[in-house]
Amino acid sequence: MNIYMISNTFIWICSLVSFIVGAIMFFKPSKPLFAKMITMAVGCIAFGRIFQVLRIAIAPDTMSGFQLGFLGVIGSLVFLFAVNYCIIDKAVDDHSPKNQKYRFIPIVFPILATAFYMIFIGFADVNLIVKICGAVLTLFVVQSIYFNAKHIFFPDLETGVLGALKPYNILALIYAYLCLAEIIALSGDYYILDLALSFVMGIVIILLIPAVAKGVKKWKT
Amino acid sequence: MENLIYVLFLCIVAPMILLVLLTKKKSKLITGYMVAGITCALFVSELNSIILSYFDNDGFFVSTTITPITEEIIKALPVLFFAYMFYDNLEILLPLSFSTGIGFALFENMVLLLKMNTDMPIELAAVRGLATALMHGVCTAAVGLGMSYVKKKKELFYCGTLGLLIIAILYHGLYNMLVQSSLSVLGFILPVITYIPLLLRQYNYIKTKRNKEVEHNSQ
Repeated sequence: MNIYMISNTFIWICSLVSFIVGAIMFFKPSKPLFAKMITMAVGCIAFGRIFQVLRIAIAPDTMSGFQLGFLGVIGSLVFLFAVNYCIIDKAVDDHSPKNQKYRFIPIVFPILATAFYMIFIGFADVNLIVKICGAVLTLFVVQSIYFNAKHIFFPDLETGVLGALKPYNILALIYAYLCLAEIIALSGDYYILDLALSFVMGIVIILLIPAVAKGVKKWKT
Repeated sequence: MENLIYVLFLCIVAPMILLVLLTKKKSKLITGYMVAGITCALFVSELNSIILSYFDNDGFFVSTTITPITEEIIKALPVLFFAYMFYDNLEILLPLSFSTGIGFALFENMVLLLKMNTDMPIELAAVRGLATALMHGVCTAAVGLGMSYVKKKKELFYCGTLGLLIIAILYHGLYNMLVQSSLSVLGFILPVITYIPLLLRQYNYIKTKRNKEVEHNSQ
């Protein structure tokens, strides 16, 4: 069993446990849509990782080039972005000029992610498929972390929803950065670093559902 | 022999179109979308042969990495058209998308049968018929779920449909990989496992609706 397989298996187990817990807790008509979508994001991670694990086990010789399991990461970021942009942001941001600075401060986080990509993948000596996959991943990471960061700093005096969802936003932000760090580690064949990152990622995924449950208590729509 | 796939297509689609003309409302839609699924399968079979030649006939790589993407996108198009042009009601979209998937699987199995000539054992045909139909049906139904937001919440429709499409692609890729490996039994069980919660949900939905109707009538 190689290190890449161990790291994928660990994340798969963590995401599967998290998905089952989330499905039991939130897949009910009375539960809010954002909680269901975050559970779907975790499900996406589980599907992507099991695909990678089985691919290594069944056909290890086809591991070079684009892997379908990569879409699991993209899918999870799409769902996390959808939750923050389509549901939470619409409810808390009234587009008033007084909160303008809270819309500008979070831009630092996407800029940082883009800089990481440019330094470690964009300008580095890696193959073209890694560069393309890295660019696509960075695109989804950037849009997801902007709203996560925005909702961490944004004042929410009226509803108190953002306060309750702060742990979720912090965890989602860390997850997105870890996805980027993972592709950087893999592009340089740093498998031990990838193992360490996957260990942290697994814990973040496990903590995601309890953090969402805290928000659900506050916001039931 | 090259035209056999088109002959097969016409033999299946022509009587189904006649059926569409005779049936009413919901049955018309479901049969019509089954025809749409079959048409998608015909288009995909041509597209897949082009893709396969581009990847040096590496069947395993193409069927586990490329075709899940092309097939899921093409299958979703008729459902998207319906949701955008007519109704985006989930009650109509789910059976509609499921029948598109079933139609797709029906023709895909026929094409496979043609390629294998008479070498397919009846047990394999039965298992494949059931598992592939469920897999395609479940995948398209999942995408249909996201499309139910096309008119209600535009942003949620774009993101939700993309996310669900990715899940469907991964599920499809996983199934294709498992059935071609020594874990093929697991591959055939996978769609059945995912179909059971869907069946239970539909059963509960009908039961709740019936109870409400009884309650309403008694008042």
